[in-house]
Amino acid sequence: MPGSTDAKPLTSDQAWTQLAAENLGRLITSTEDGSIEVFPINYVRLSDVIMLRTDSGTKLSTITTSPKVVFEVDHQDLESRSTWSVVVHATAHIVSNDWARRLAASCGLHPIAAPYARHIVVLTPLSISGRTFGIGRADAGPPHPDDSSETDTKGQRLS
Amino acid sequence: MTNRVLAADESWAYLRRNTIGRIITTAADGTVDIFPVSYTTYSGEILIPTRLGTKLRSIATHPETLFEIDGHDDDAHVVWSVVVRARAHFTPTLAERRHAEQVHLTPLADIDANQVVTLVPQKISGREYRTR
Repeated sequence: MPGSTDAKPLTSDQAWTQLAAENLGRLITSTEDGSIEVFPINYVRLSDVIMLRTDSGTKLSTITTSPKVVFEVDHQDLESRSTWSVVVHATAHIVSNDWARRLAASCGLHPIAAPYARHIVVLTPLSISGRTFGIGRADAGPPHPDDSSETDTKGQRLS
Repeated sequence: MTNRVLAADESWAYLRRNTIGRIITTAADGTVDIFPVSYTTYSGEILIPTRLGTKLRSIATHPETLFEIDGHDDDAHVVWSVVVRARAHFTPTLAERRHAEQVHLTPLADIDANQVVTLVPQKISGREYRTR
């Protein structure tokens, strides 16, 4: 694991358990021409699939033509300075009917970007992998040297 | 219910304030992968201390990467996200290397001349999503 120490793999069961503990992940779509996008998105784990909810838009149109996606969830534990990460390679299916919407709502799936999103996306995993490793956050360590410097819109130091 | 596009300096403020992000790489065969990483900002760049032999090596053949950070402010009912489209290289300047070492992102012993990935941003886009 880059920038970290002592990465330990999670078992598949552990990875699924961790997925159930969070509700914000990142969906990565890629098209055949190599164009990649990443979106933060709320999700619920339901048995061995992951349910997302989205409105019509870039995500949905990309998924329709390029259903192979990557989904990632991670979490930092400030006390133990440990991080876990679960990465799922999956096929995305769009299921946009009332039944699916009711099921998603009953599981507590509330989309962040589009509260009235009509489309349910089901991710069927092709592979799932998880790791836990010891990266902490700087707020538990020394001050961030860049924090106090004034910057312009390109992030260049002005002083 | 509005999603707000962040100005460049707002996105940079989030980038400077945080220390863990995700780098998204593409392997030679087109496989996309994502790794959480520690990082720091320096002079308009993103520095990622890493080790030789990691999967980040796919950057060497495909330097176009995405870098993402996000978080939520439950009091303000906001989820935010910053996505950086960046070109990566493994040839940090001495100043970049020193900066990466200063912030103690990894044990110092882990860092040597070739163990900092520098992301040079090409496009930065940030968004805030209202959750209520």
